[in-house]
Amino acid sequence: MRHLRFVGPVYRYAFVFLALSIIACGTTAPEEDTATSSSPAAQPAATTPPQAPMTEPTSVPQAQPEATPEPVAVGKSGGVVPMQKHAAPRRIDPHPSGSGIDMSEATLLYNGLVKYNDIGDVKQIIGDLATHWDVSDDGLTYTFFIPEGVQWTDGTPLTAADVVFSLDRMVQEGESRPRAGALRTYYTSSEAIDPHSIAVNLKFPAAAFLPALGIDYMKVVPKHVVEAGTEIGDVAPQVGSGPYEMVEYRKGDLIEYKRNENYFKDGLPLLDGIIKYVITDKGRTKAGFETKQLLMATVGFTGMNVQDYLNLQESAGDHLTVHFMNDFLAIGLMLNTTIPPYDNPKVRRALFLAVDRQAQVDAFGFGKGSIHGPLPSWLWFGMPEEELLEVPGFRQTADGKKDPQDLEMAKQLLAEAGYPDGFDATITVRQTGIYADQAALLKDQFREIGIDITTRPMESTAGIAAFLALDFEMGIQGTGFAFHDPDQILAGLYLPRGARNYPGWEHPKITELYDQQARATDQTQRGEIISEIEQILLYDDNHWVGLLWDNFGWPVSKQIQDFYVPSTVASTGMMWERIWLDQ
Amino acid sequence: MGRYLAKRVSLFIPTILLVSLLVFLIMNIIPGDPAMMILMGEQGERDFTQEQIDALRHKLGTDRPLPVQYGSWVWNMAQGDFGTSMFYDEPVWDELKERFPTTLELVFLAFIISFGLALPLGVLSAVKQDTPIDYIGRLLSISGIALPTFWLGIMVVMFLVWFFDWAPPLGYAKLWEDPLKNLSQMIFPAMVLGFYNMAFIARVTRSAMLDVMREDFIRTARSKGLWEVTVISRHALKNAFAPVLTVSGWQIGRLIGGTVIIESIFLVPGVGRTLIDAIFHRDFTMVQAVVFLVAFGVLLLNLIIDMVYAWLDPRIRYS
Repeated sequence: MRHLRFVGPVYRYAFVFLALSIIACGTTAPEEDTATSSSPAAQPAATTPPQAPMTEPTSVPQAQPEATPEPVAVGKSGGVVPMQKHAAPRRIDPHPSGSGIDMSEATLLYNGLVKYNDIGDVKQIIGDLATHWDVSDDGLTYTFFIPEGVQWTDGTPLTAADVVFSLDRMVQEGESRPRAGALRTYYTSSEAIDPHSIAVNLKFPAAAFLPALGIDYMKVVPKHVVEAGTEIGDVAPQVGSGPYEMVEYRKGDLIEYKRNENYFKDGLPLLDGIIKYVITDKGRTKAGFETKQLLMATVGFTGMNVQDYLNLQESAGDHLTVHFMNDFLAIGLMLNTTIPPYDNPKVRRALFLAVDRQAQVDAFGFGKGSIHGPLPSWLWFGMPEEELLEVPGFRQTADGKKDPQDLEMAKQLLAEAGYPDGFDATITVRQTGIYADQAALLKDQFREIGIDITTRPMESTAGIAAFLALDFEMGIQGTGFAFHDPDQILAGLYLPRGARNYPGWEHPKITELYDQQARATDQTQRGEIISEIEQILLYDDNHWVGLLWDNFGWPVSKQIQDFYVPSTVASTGMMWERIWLDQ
Repeated sequence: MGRYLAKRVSLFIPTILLVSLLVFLIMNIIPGDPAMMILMGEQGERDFTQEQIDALRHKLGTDRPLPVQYGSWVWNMAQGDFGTSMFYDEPVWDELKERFPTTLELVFLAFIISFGLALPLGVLSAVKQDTPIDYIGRLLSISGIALPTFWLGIMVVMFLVWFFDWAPPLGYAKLWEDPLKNLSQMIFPAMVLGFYNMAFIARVTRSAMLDVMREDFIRTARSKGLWEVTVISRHALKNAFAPVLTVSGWQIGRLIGGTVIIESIFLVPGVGRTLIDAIFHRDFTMVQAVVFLVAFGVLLLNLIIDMVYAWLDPRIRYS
């Protein structure tokens, strides 16, 4: 058993000292929009927080576990931060929740075993309840250790029994688990070894286990409360263990939190409280930020689009920064593969080839978006953009136009499929975001290969209902990912039960390779398998025609210190333990 | 008078039933299954089985035939049970009883502002016909009718931010808890909401006043040597008031309807905002209850106005 100890004052301070020394010797400063400045007590670290490169691969714990000390709280205590929340929560039970709206409340009330680092390298998994953990040599058993003295807010001790109960609940069969259910792929069982240690057994050694366990939905909930029949989903003060306690919820108006005075992490959280104002109107949201009524957004989604953020940055740049979460939303053209002509792989391939992705980026990226290949180019497992631009469907002429060769190939495929003159088609778009505008651009692009597009705009909710009922031919949809592991992205888009694979399209080879890569213990081997999947998606067949990696913006006041953009838009690192207010 | 009242009340019941039927049918015609909306989450991410959908539909009662659902809804409402919110799983009335006072306060304020401005504006326009005062009055009233309320609301918020670096405070304060904060939150939405109302009533007042001012009895009053103020207030305005009152009553219905957008722009946690959320979530029971109650209120108000009208003008009740 390898033993990874994560906390302990000596190690903590030694690490901080080491980090500061490295930084002082010239560590590259992060991008301006990655983090605000930090505490006066640790100024060098604050202004130049260590950042992992975006291409760093997901770690494979059984291969080489990495010990990460929990960051030390160095900011000033006090203050209440008013935040914008773009919609009212419905149920704040973290396990059945699939919504960032609900999760961003639950995450303040509970702890996970592990979490994503919220200060510095936000992609790093660190202990939350767990002070440290062991991994068995075969990678099939994780043993987590939780400290003594952790209490629920009703005074009951938080023990291994709560953890086991919660893990079992996250994967409970027959229950809807849109996000927490990601654990089902890996989790077999868990047992309390003693009140402070838990063994978790996996189906196979999985690189994605810890990244999955770290998201904000994987919370430990109070066993005694749930078993007593209390509805922990109610948006109301709940028995929790997290950094904050809910004080009041006024539906459709505000949610107020105060710090948990008995929080088991000494000195945390740094804020006295948080007030989240439910503001659905984007004009009022902008006014709130401009007048300093709001100091930050609850999650990286406020209802505004990139252009709105750029305007806000311009008008209120003196007191706030809009942190752009680059490439967080995959927007694609979905093909209903259950109906003709989209059930024909040649037609799908022709559409894939005909899209001018650069034009989509130019028109709707506002200088922040990027070309959407099958997998994210900026992550370790995606084909780099320069290589992507050599692939049919992505090629450009010297002057940046769509390569006519791709269009010829598309026409040829349509002719082979029995549509030499093209066909009439409908694109269903929800009347939200930039979808309708994107459809208008696609109309021009598809006309080049003889496909005449009619746009079918639908009210947002009705549009979702149409997608679910497969009442569409083509449709434009955006999707985010809970964590940036291949498992999550491949399963979400390209497996038959994927969240955005409404028609249930399946490529048997991809399903087979997906399973292989999930079980691969060697990073290089895993990368090769994923590359094979990407080749299929690029050269053979795909139901999801990627259009654009779009951005979210996160307005944050310059008064808020030690804010680091979480690694995904609505799933990680939003407990706000360490942000602080420079009053 | 009694016969007139009986006639009006007998029309009230079928009207309200028709309204309930329309609301019910519209909510069931528009796409979107509440069970699916709940299970799929805000972004349509699937993680549910057909069994779970069926179970939830059964729990919500949406698996029953439409006539049964409608009959059950109307019967329960007749007994004061507005049902349980499909989305939030809480009694509808618990939600609405918190929200109605806020919306009523907004409507009341808007009405007072609009009526208080419209009456003098309309009278002045009429008395000073074709003078600069009349032109200003007409410009204001035409603007009020032409400008969409939602646009005006957004403009007011932007104006306050741009010129005063100020926006109405966040976090709704109840009138009896913090009257000053409440007023600073409610005054601008009330003004925006009342602007159209003010414009419309001003135009009707001006028109009615012009008609009355041309009547013989006004000339007689003047020839008796009465002060012009007395002629206008006691003779002209009193006789011009009936159509103004009728129109004002109708406008209250419009004011209530206007709260749907204005409450969202100005963050007033009233019934209008609840309705928007409920439509988005396909919360049938909530939408039906809100629309029904608002329609009921407007119809009741019209009934009261008809009664007052009949009391003011005997010709109505004897016709």
